[in-house]
Amino acid sequence: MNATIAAQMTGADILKLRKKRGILTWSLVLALGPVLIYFVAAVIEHATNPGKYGPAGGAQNFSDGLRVIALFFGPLAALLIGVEAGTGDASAGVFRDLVVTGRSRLALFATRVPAALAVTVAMMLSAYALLLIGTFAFASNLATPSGSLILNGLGFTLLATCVLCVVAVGFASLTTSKPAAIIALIAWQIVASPLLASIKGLGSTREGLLSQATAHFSPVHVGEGGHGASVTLSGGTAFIVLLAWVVVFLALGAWRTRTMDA
Amino acid sequence: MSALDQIPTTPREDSTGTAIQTTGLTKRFGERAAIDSVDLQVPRGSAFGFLGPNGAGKTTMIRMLLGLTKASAGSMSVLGHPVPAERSEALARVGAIVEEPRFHPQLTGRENLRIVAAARGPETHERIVGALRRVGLSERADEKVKKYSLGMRQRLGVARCLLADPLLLILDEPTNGLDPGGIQEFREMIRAMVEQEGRTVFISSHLLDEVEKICDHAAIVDRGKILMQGAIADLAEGGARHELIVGLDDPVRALEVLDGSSLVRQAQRSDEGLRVTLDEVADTSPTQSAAGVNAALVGAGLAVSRLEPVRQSLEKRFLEVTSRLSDSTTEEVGA
Repeated sequence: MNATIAAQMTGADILKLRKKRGILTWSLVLALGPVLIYFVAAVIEHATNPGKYGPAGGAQNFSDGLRVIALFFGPLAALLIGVEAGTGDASAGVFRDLVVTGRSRLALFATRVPAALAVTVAMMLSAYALLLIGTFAFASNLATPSGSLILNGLGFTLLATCVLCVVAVGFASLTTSKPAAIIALIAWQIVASPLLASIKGLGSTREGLLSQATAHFSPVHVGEGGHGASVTLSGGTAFIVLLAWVVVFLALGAWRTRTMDA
Repeated sequence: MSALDQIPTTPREDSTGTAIQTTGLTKRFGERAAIDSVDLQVPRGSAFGFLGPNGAGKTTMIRMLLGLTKASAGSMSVLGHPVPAERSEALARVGAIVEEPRFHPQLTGRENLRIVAAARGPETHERIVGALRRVGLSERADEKVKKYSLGMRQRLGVARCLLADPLLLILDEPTNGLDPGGIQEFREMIRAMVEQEGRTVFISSHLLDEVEKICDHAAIVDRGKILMQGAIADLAEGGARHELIVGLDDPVRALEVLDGSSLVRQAQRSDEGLRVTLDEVADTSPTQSAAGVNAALVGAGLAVSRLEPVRQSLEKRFLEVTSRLSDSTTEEVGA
C-alpha cells in the first residue's frame, strides 16, 4: 500500500466518522460541554458572590479545566471516537465489501487509527481552545498560565486522549461489537481503573494502569486517589506503560481484523 | 470522454479458460460439511448460475472464493490466481455482492462508493460517475443510503462492483428486492456485460427461472455438493432428450407398431398423440432413434404430423436431481 492509497483510505475513514452524527455529537458534548459548564458556573458564582468566589478565569481555573478535559471527559470523547472507528465497518456490514477489494485486512485496520486520531485531535483542540478562551476572558486580575504551561497542557491533553483513542480502536476491533466495547471501556475508565488505582494493597502493580502512566505527564497537580496519581512512576516507566497499552491493543485489534470471518 | 466511457466495455484479458476453478474445495463447520469436495469450473466470458435451494452452501462457496472465510481443504483459483495465496491480485478485478448489499447508512450513495474506491486505488475514483449512471442512480447519488429502497441498494451494490472494472462479477441472490422492471433491467445489464463486454458473471440463486433467463452455464448444488454442471441447455435436457412427443392420425395403431421395437422403451397415449420414451441403444444417438421411430410409423402407413423431443425446463431438472439426492441420502441412512 503506497502513501496515496493510505491517505485516501484514511480520508475515507475520517469521512465515515465525520458523518456519524450521533457519536460525533456525544463526543463534542463530552469534550466541550464540561468546560463550558465549568466556566458558566464559575462566572455565575463570581457574579453573584464576588467576595466568596473569585473570577472564573486565571491559572487556577485553567488547571481545574485541564483536569476536566484531559483526565475525565476528554478520554470519554476519545473513547467513543475510537470505538466507532474500530467497529464502524463491521457494524454497518461493509467490512466484507472492503475485504473483497483485495486490500489487505491489516491495511484496513491500520487506516482506522490515524482517522480516529485526526477526529479526536480536532475535537480536543476545540475543547482546549474553549478552555483558553475562558481562562483569559474571565481572568480579571488573576494571573494567567504561562506559555509553557499552555503548551504542556495541550500536549498532556492530546497524549491522554489520543492514547485512549488508540486503545479504543484496538479493543473495539477486537470485540467487533460497538455496544460491548463502549460499555466495557467506559466501565474501565470510570469505575474499574480508579478503583484499582485506589487499592493500596496492589502496590507497584498499579504502575501498569493506563491512568497512572498518563497522570505522570500532567503539567498540573492531578491530586491523588482514583482519577489522580496514586503511584509515583519514573518518566521511562510511564512511557513504557503507555507504549505497552497502545502496542498490545493495536496488536489484538489487528489480529482479530486479519483472522475473523468477514 | 463521458463518465459512462470510464466503465470499460471490452475485456482486456484473454476471455478463454476458467474464471473460477476449484478442486476438492471443502468447508466444514464442526462435523458438518457446508461445502463438500467441490470441483467447479466457471468458463470465462460466461454468465454462470450457481443454483441451489436455501442452505445448499452457495453463500459459503462465494465467501471462500472471496477470501472472507478460509477453506477447510482443497484449492481454488480466481482469474488464474490461486486463492488465498494471491488473493489481492485475484480480487483486484473482481466485483462482488455477498448476501444483501450493505452500506454506511449515514453516507450518501456517492460517498459509499468513495469509501470503496479509496481501498481499490486512485484510478477507481474516476469510475464512480459512470458506475452510478450505469445503474441509474445518478440523480439519487447524493441522498443518504438510509433513504434508499432495497432495490436501490441492490443497484448501488452493482455500481460498487463496477468500480473494480471487473473481469469477474460474483453476485449472491442479486435480484432480491428488485421489482419486475428492475429484474428485467438487471437481466439486460448482465447479458450486456457478458455478451458485449466479455465479462464473466457468477450468480448464485435459488430462483431457477432467473438463472435460466440470465445464464448460459450453471451448476446445481445441494447440501454442499455439485450435482451437475455445464451449459444450461445440456443441464435442462438431461435424460429428457430420450423422450418424444409424436402427433399422428391413429395413436392406437401407432402403439401396436411401436410395441416390441428395439428403439422404444415405453410408449403411451397423451393429449398430443403419443409420448415415446426411447431406449438407449449403443452407437445410436437420440436423434437417430427418433428418426427410426418416425420411419417405422410412416412405413406402417401412419400420417405423422409432429415429432418433437420433450423440452424439459431447468426447474424440472433441478427438482429431479435435488430430490434424487434426497432419496439416496435417505436410503443410505436407512441402510
